[in-house]
Amino acid sequence: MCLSTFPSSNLLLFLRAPAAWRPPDGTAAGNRYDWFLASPDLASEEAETCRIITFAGDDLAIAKKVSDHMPVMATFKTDAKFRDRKPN
Amino acid sequence: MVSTIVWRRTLKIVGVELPEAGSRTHLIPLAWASFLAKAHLITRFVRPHILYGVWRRPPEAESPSYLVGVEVPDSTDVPAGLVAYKVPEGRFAVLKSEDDPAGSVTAYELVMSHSPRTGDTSREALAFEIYDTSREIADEYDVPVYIPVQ
Repeated sequence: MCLSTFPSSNLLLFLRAPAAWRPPDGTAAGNRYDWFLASPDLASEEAETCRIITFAGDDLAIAKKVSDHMPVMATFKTDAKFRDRKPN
Repeated sequence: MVSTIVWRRTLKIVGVELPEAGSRTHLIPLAWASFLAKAHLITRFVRPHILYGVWRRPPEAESPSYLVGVEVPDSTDVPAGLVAYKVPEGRFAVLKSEDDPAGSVTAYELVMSHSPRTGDTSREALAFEIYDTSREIADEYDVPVYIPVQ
């Protein structure tokens, strides 16, 4: 998986499934990649990782009953004090 | 862990079901993500800021299933792609988990470990967790778990 930012755009986080992995379904758009809409500072400062969650075996069969999309998980540094943080 | 006994009216919960969730708790976040993506299909709510995690053991199933959803009026049709559980009215033991707001301490685990120290015994009904999204997620956030008793 990869995490990329595009500072000139509001579409800042881009992730792609690994080439060796052949998903049975797809992301929400049915593709091997997906987008996150995030503010520039969120992507450049707080964002840590994002990845597409994949399943295998019995888990895959159950997961497909729950959703026809693969979930994307992003992690952010929520407890850090960044320059855009406003005091309460 | 706090325990009280309350009476709850019948609830109709509509949402996304995870089969065999009791043996696949690691897939519960997928059910939450799927529900949030489909929540717009629900147009009638009782309390839209309250999310429910409901545990049900179908007669033929070895492991209980889990439904992530919201309460809707009883007359509401179930949108395509979603599932409805009806939680019968009755008495519930309310346990509050103050240790894990993310929900890894599940109702199912609590049901399995609950001892009848109050003198109440379990009854055949659905157990559920309540997530109040109007509250700030802070250290003191707790998740009440309702376990059916008689």
